[in-house]
Amino acid sequence: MTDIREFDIAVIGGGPAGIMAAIHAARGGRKVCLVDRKKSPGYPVRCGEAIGLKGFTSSVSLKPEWIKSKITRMKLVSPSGLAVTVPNSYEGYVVDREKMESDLTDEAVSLGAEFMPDTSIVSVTPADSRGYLCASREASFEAQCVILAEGVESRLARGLGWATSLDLRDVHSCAFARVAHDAVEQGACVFHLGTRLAPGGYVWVFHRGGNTANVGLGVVGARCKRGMPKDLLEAFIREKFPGARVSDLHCAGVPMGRWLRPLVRGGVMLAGDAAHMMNCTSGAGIAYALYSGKTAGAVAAEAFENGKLRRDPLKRYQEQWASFYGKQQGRSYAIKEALIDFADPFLDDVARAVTRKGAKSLTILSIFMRAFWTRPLLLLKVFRLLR
Amino acid sequence: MIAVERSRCDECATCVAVCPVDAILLDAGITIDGGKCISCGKCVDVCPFGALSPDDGVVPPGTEGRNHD
Repeated sequence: MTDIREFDIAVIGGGPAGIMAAIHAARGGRKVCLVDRKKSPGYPVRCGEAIGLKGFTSSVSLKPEWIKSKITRMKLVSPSGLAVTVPNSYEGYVVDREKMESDLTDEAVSLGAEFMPDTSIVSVTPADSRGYLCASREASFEAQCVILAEGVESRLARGLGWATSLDLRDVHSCAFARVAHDAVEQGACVFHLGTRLAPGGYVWVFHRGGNTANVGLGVVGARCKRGMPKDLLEAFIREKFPGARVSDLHCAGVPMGRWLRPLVRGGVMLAGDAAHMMNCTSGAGIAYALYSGKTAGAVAAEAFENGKLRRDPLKRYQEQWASFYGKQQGRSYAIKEALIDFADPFLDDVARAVTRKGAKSLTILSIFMRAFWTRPLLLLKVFRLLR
Repeated sequence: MIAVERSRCDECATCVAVCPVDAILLDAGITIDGGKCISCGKCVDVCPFGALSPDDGVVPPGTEGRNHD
């Protein structure tokens, strides 16, 4: 039996949540490792890469070299093709996530975290009263605190007692690609709605510098059939961007339910997609992941006293998450659940109604208000879900 | 049982996330544990690239169209 290495805090998963957890755990002076299954962080990018500056900078300061384009407007296209353009009232960008995650991983390492790429943890088990054994074929080690940021699969968390299996209503099956074509609208985030294009979800086209865009779509799991997202994405690209250069075709599952509770069990914390943290109306998860990772890492580091982890203070993580983003996710879930039963004609109604108003005074909020005005039952349903 | 077409798999783990019985392992490709799999077909439906299929080409009786319990 060889000596087993020991860490104060082990972070499993090198996406935005895990990297931030490692940065803040290391900044707190702990002995930290950051483990990732892949050889390099941030690749492949399974994401639309759009961020709102406000949410982003509550965790990370945006570096100019990460920016691929500045979002100047949002455009919603209804099922019948009616376009509603909303000038962007929040500062937003499309970012190069591969570059961002590579830089942030370097930061974690410069702060003293040990990066272990190309390492698959197959199990996390309580080792004694104070720690956990993280086992992989490559290297097994012990840690007093484990932060699970393993992404949507959340399988290690399942092994530790969390009910992570996603209901098919609460997952979007997504496919996306980089598209180069002259029809890409500069500075726009375009959302196409409609059952024909993406049942229960939407198609997004986010300008990513030059004539390129991230194009992707999500189909709600309950209405998805074998291979549908890829087929629909290819059909959309053929229709809107004929002859385009298409690269980086990838896929993902996006959790669209409530965040998992509790976020802390014993010395284990969940962050990011692994905890099902997501804005369920927009499908935006980067800001949530960054914040949850940062908070989990900082709270974990603070919970150590004379080199020993005190587990009780870890619970502050859930309190901080719940008040910062948890409530917002709850509202987004209620809106998603309310909208899911409304069919395409409703969305066309709303689009017609708001375009009549004139584009100058349009905001996302006014579109929602119009939706509620058109269908008062919708408002009732949202209230009921929020209770 | 479910069959895996490795050349189509992008290792996105959506199947792992929806499996109700923890029968799928992602580690350099997908492996399905035949002892645990209940052939519910959820993974087949949600795989964005269509890399999974019922092994015999037939959905087991009583599970067709059963997307969530």
